[in-house]
Amino acid sequence: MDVTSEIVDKVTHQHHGQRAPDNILNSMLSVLSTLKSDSGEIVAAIITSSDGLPWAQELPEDFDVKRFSAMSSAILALSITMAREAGRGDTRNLMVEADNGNIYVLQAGPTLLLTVFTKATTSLGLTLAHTRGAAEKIEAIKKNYDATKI
Amino acid sequence: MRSINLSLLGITKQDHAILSVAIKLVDVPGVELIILPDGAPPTGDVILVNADSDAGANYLKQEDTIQTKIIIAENFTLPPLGSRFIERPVRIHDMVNAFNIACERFKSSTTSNIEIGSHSSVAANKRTQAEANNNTPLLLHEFITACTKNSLIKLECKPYSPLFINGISRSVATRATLPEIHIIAKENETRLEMTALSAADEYEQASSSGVNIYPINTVIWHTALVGSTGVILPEHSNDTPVKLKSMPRFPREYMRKRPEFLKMSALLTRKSMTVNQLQQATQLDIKVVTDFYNLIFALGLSTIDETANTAELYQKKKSKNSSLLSRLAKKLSATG
Amino acid sequence: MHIGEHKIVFTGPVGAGKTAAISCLSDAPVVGTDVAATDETLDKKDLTTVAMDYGYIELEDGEFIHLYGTPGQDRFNFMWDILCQGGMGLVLLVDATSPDPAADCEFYLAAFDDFIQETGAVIGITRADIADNTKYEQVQDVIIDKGYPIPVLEIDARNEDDVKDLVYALMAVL
Repeated sequence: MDVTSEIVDKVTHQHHGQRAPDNILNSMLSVLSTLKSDSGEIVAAIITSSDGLPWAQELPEDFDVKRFSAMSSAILALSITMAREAGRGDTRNLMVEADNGNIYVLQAGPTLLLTVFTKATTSLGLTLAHTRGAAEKIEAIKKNYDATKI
Repeated sequence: MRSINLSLLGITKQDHAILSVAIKLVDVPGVELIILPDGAPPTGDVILVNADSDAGANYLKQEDTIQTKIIIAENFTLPPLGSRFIERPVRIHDMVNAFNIACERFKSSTTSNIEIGSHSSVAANKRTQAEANNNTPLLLHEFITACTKNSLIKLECKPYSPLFINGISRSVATRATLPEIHIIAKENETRLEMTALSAADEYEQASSSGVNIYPINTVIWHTALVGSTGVILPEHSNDTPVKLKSMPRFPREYMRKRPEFLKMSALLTRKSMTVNQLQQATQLDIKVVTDFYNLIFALGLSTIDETANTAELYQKKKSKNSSLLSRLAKKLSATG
Repeated sequence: MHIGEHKIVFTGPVGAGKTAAISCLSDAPVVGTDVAATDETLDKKDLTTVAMDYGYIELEDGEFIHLYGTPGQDRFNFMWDILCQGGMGLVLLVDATSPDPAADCEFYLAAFDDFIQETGAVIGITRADIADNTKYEQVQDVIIDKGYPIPVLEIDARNEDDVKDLVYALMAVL
């Protein structure tokens, strides 16, 4: 498969008239690719709308992008509500520590989420820092795109 | 001479005036109706309640007490089992009827704490007109027959307006209002006369002015909810097994006042049962079970299931929830 | 407090009124997880539940009946399984104004079939006053001859009495 169709495959088509144009999705995808290569510990990453629809992904074959997108939005929404109600303020990120690796879910602006899956990691702080950086870039791309729509 | 105490709750001055006349016209040998003082606690055997008063409304909200109630209200509402209803404006005739029937019941009962419509139980068999305690099973039977045979029938119950039943269009044309049909069903001494009609006759009646046309199901609901006093439909017995295809579309107020009907519907949807089996499964009064049976059959919702085992005892699924559910029900009725 | 027994789950397609219904019953303000919608939900409303709605009814003796609302979209079906665990019954709400509420019923009844067979369910048709009345018959056709009882009521999900009637009906089949 050539590079273009690989990229197209990785970009999903789930939106109901809300799909961003290819160039936007491609920019987001390259943020994910860079993140994956910069941080040796990230094995998969997805960008999702807050209501659980996939926007872009860097995932192995056996990851169900739709399911994980929905799960990311559900788990983060619940975390945000819980933190707020417990007086902890705004949620910066959600972290799941598991035997074979971690999952981080962060907001990438008000309407997008970034979820990364890591190997069993020793450099927690660094991975998180990379991920935050990626989230900020994604937020910027989205912001620019929104501005063009006005 | 048997004395029956009548308590008054929230009734108006006008009601009082009618009461003082009606009480003199009550004519049940061996029975005397005694009016308790106004303002006394409602402890009589029979209670005359004005549902539109605060006192009356509060009283009626309570769990059904064992007393016989005669309810007066502006708008027709479904009375609880065993009570009677008088719609305003109150006519002396209505009140006299209600008292007569209440007194008849007390006369024929062996204890004073017995609700209207009950009598020492008799194994339900094929009904004859003489045995029927009220017109409900007869009426239901005619409705069912008209629909299954696509026939046109006139039912006359003097002094009330006749009912013209069209089994083809499944409608009832009559000058009687639904409350009056309710009363017709409750009457126990009235002879019901049936006449077959020609299509032309029925059409003429149905299209006269002042005539109400009701869907037959509406009339069936109103009739059946009067209760059949334990008499099952003709040609049915307490051992006829039936099954429900799906839950009946109970009118909303009905669900609240007869939750046991919902419960029985749930059981009959799962499994064919006879009246006897349903009674054993629910431990409800056999009259209530019979009322329910007649209703769902009349509505065409239940079918006879010849293959059912009519001797089988119902094994109740062990429910951990029953006390929880009753507490939830209590909470829901308390708030708002 | 035994969480296992005392939970009622509200489900149904997006916009049917699950959140509203739970709000009617809940003693405390409902905890929600609504976010901005970006899919066909937008045809009906701006926000959508992505994890769950949570409310409760407190009983006299300090016991609680927990009320959980699931997200409507199929992609959140993992939440359906999670929320049903230990539940005592299901309230399925469908919107009479949507193209095929009967098909919606079929879908959700199939999705929750195991849970329903173990406990019980009731169907509430919302917005029936706006839509064509025959939706009731269509929904009944879906559940006829199922062999277990599912009461069907037309309700206004914002009306407390209506929602209570739905719960009464559910209790009758449990």
